[in-house]
Amino acid sequence: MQISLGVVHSMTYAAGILNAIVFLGILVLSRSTPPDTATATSMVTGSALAAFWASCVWGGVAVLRRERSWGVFGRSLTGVQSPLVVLTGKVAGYSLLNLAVVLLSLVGGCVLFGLRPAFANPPAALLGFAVVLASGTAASLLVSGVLVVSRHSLAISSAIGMPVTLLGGTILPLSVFPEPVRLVSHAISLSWLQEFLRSTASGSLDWPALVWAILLSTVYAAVGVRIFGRMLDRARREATLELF
Amino acid sequence: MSSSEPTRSVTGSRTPANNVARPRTPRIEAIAATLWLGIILFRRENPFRPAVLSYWFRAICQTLLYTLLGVVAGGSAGGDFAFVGAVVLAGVDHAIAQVSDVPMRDLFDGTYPRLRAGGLPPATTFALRSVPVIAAGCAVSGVVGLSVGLLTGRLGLATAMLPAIPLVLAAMLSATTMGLFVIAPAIGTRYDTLTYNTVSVFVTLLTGALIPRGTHGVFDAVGLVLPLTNAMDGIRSLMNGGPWVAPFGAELLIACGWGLLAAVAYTLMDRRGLRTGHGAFEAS
Repeated sequence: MQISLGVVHSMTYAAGILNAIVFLGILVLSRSTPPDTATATSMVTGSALAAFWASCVWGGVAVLRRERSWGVFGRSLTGVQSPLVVLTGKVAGYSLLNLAVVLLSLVGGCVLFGLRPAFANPPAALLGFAVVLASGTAASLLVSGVLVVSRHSLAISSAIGMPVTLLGGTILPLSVFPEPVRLVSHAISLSWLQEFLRSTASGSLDWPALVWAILLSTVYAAVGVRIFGRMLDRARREATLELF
Repeated sequence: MSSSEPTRSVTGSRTPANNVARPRTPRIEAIAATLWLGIILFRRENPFRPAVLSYWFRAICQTLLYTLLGVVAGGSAGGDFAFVGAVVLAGVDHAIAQVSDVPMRDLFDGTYPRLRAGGLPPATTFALRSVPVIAAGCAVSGVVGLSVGLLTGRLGLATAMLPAIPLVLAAMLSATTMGLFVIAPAIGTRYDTLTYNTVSVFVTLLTGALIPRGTHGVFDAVGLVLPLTNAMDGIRSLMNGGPWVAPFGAELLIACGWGLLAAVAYTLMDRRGLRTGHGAFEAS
């Protein structure tokens, strides 16, 4: 259902297609010489991760905001199924759609800018993108829980998207930052995912990076579940949160 | 159409259909009132905390990202080039996105019929209500110039941009008029966010703010009609001690061109609404 709702929503394309093309365009057009295959692959995966993150931030907010504005949020949380299962399914559906839109737009971007990315180990790349999807779902769960308790969710989502793109090691290499800033970057799963996806181009896979990404995504999901539980408590027991 | 619904005379002036004389507000007073209302509406929808602060924070991060990408691509000189462009681009992006709210507000609030019955044409009202957006765009550029200048050791470069304020203003003006035009066909549809975000992509990539122009003929040609392209040429020329008046004039021409297109679009939309009783602003 979330996929069918997202398909007809313009922000799915604004966040997925346009961000991906902007990031890839800046990386490619600012170079005086065409990138080699490994660099092109790194550019594509970095742009995919950065654009996917932007989509996840928006998607995490959109799912719950839409339910609240339609007046069905309360029913979603009081149905037969566990509210957490319902929310996770909705966020996962949105994340899947967003990742598909981002990847398809980057195929177009590669044609437009004449890039030829290559993966020496395609199954590992597929595994990497599966973890990207899981990590994006976990991050969306976390973001949606935080934002639904605030009246200023759009403003906050606007503010948190870009810092992660800046520090996430996706389109900007972490080597430009001093060491203390890099520590912050290493708490962002995107930086590890980019390391792993970059390694799939060469064939010498960076498995520790993938493990770190999975661990961090698990932490995001755990914190997201905790915040969601707190949100339910406020709505059901304390009656200090408006769901309708 | 009800008998009391306003119609237009041949000369374009508004008179009620039943010919009952309506008290006329002096034009200058109507303009001042609309301008003031635009400021009130803008402040209502953009409270300093958290809206303005979150926009500024996002713009600072974006400018820092673009500046550092410039450093990666072209060393310190590349960073300087990207910094100058990214500072102005931050304000232009903000103006393009924010100005879309000006006409959309009447759709969401259902106030367009009252706007239509007012003393000023809707296109003029939208233009006057957009003035705070120009000021907000300039404020964003100032804030990110100062912040990112401090963070990246380019405060001197930011200071050297101060004489280029007229060019920055011209860029904000052309971004605002283009933003007003591009949102017009999307009013009443679900694609409003797609329009101004798409335009922002073109402005980011093709105006020479971040990527030097002159490498791709088609991209350069498209960039010529976009806001910011001529202003960026002028700003870089001014900072190198070169001429800036011609690019300034060209940017103002681009602003007038987009403004004219916006005026035509809103006038046609208004006339269609009067003729058919159903227009884009009634779609919700």
